[in-house]
Amino acid sequence: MESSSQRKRIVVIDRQEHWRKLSVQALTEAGFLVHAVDSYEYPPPSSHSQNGAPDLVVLGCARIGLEEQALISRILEQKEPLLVLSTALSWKVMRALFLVGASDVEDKPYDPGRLIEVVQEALASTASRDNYKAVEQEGVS
Amino acid sequence: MNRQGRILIMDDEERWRKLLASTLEDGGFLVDVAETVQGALLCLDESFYHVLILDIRMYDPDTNNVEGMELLRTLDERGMSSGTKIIMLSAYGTTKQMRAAFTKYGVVDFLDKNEFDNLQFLEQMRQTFKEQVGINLGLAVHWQQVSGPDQVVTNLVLEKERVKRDTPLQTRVAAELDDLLCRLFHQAESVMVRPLAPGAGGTSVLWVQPFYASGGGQSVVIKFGGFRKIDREYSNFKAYVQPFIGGGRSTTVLDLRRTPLLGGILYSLLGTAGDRVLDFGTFYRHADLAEVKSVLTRLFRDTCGSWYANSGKLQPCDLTADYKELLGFSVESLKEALNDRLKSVQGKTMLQFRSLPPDRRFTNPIPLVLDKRLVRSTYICTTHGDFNENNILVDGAGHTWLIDFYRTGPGHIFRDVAELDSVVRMQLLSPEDASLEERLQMEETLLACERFSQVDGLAAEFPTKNRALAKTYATVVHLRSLARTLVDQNPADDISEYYVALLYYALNMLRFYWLSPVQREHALLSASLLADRLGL
Repeated sequence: MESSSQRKRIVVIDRQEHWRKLSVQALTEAGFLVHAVDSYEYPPPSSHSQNGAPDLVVLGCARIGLEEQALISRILEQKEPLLVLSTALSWKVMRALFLVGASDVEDKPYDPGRLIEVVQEALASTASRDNYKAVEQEGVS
Repeated sequence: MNRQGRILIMDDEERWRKLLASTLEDGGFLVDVAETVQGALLCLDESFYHVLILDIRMYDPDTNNVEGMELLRTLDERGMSSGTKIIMLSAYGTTKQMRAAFTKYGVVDFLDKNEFDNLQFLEQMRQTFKEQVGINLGLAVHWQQVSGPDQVVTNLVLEKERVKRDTPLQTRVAAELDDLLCRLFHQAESVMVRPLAPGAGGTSVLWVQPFYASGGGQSVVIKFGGFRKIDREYSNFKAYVQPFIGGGRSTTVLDLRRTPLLGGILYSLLGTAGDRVLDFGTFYRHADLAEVKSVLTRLFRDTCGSWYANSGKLQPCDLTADYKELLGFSVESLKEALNDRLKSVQGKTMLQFRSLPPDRRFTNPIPLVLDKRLVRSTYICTTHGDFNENNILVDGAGHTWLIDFYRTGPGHIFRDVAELDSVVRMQLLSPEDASLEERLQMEETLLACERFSQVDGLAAEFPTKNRALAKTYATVVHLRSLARTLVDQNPADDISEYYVALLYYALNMLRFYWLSPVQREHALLSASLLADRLGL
C-alpha cells in the first residue's frame, strides 16, 4: 500500500452531485487521494494550500459553456494536467479542448471502471513524456 | 540565410497533395509530398521537416485502412513525434482516432477535410510555426573560428552513428544545428556562435551571444547532440545539479529544444564576471600556479561542495564496477589500444619503452586488471562524472561553472578529483613540455605517498627546473590535498582508493587516440606504477 505522500492527488470538479460522488468513490477505492469541489473557483484554496498542486484535475460537466471555458483556462494557466468529462462532445468541441491543452477528454456518462482507466492513462501519459515535451508544455522548471 | 518552414505532406489522393502543396508553397513554405507511408518514411530519413501533414485513412473505401495512424506509431517508436510537429487531416477521422492521435502521439492538430479552407489552413500553419514549432527562421547566425555548422557537427555520435566529413549525414545534421539555433534563439535577431569544446559521448558545446531588438544579451552555452543523450543530460541536471544550485554563481538551464535528430540545452552561467569565460584547459595554460590552486579550491569547495558534503556513510564500494560502468572500457579495448596503437612499447607481461633506458622494465597493468574486483571502504555521492578540461569553465574572477551533465550521478567520491588529476598530468602537460623520463620521475615521486596524511609533505619532494612539469606536479599535489579533505571524516587514512581511481583513468586514457604518443605512454607508465603500488 502506498503511503499518502506517494498516492496521486486528484481534484474532482463537478457541480452534479451524483457524478461528483460517483467519481470520488471510484477514484478513492482505486487508491487516489481525492479532493472534490462543486465550485468553479480555481485553484480551490483548501486543496492547494494544504497539499500543493494536484497530479490531475478531473472536470465533469454537462456541457462546455462559457463558464467551463473560463474554468479550463484557469486550470491550464496553473500548468496542471486536465481531464474533461462531458456530454455532447462533438468533433469540434473535442478538438478545441485538445488544442487548448487538455490532457484527455472522455464522454459523460461514464462508468467507474472507465473513469479509473482514463485517469490512469492521463497520469501515465504525463509521467512518460520526454523532457522536450515537458518543457514545451510547462517550460523549464 | 534564406530559410523556409519545411513541411511534408502524406496523402494518397493526388488532388489533395496538389491543393495542400500549392497552398503552402504560395504561403512561402518548402513542401515535399509523399503518396505512401514508405514514401513518407524515405523523405523523413533523407531530410528534416518542421511539420508533417498526415492523412489518416488512405484509400477511401477501406474502413480498416488507417495507414496514417500506423505511421504515427512508427514515428513515435523512433522518438520523432516531438521533433516534427504532426497535423492530422482526414475526411474520415473519428473522435476515437482524434483522441488517440492527441493523447498517445501528441499531434498538434486534427483537421477535417470536409471543412477545408485554403486561407484558414494557411493561417493555421503559420500559427503552428509560431506557437508549436517556435522558430525564428530569420535569425542571422554569425559563426566565429569556423566557417559554419558543417565543421562543428563532425564527430557527433547520433544513435551510435558517428557524423563523418563530406557525407549526406553531415550536411543534414549541420542543417539541423542551424535549425536548432533558430529554435533556441527564437526571440533574438542574430547570434554570434563559436565552438567551445567537444562534450561527452559524441556531443558538443557552443558559446553563443544573442542580440535582440533592444541590444546584446548575456552570453550563454549550448550543449547539443543526439536528442536522446541531451534528454538524459537534462534529466541528470534536474536530479543532481538543480537541487544543489546556490551561491549566486551557478549553471542554470534556460531552454531545451530539439529537431528530429538533435537536442540542445541552453545553459546560462549566472554570476559570471564580465563575459570572459574560459574552459579550464585554456585557463590552466595561461594562469600561474597560485591562480590555478585558487580556482581548484573554489571548484571542489564551492561549486561542487554540496555534492561531496552529502557523501553519507562509509560503505564498501566495488570500484572496478563503478569505473568500468562510468568509463565503458573493456580489457579487449585496452589491449587493442596497447598492441595496435602504441608501437613504441614492447613486451607482454613486462613492458619496455623505446624512449626510456633499456634496463627499465614495467609491469603490464592490463592483464592484471582482468577479473580483478577492487573493493574499498569509501563514500558514494553525486559526482559530475566527466571532469575534463572542457567541462569546467572559469571566469575572470576565478569562479567556476560546470557544463555537460551526461554522466552526472551517484558514484565514488573521488571520480571528479581523480579525473582532473589525470587530465592535468597526461593532457595539460603537453608533449613538448616534458620527456617520458621526466614524467616517470614525477609519477614515482607522487606514488611515494602511502597514506593521505603524507600528501602535504609531497610539495617539496620534486625539485625540477622544468617549469611546466613543476606546475603540473604542484597542481597535482594540491588536488590530492583537496581529495584528502573530501574523506577527512574517514579515520582509515587510506590513499589506495584514490590510486584505484587513478589506475582506471590512466587505463582509459590509453584509448584517447587524439593524445600524442608520449602522453599515452605516460598514461601506460602511470597505470603500471599504480598497479605495482596497489600490489595487483
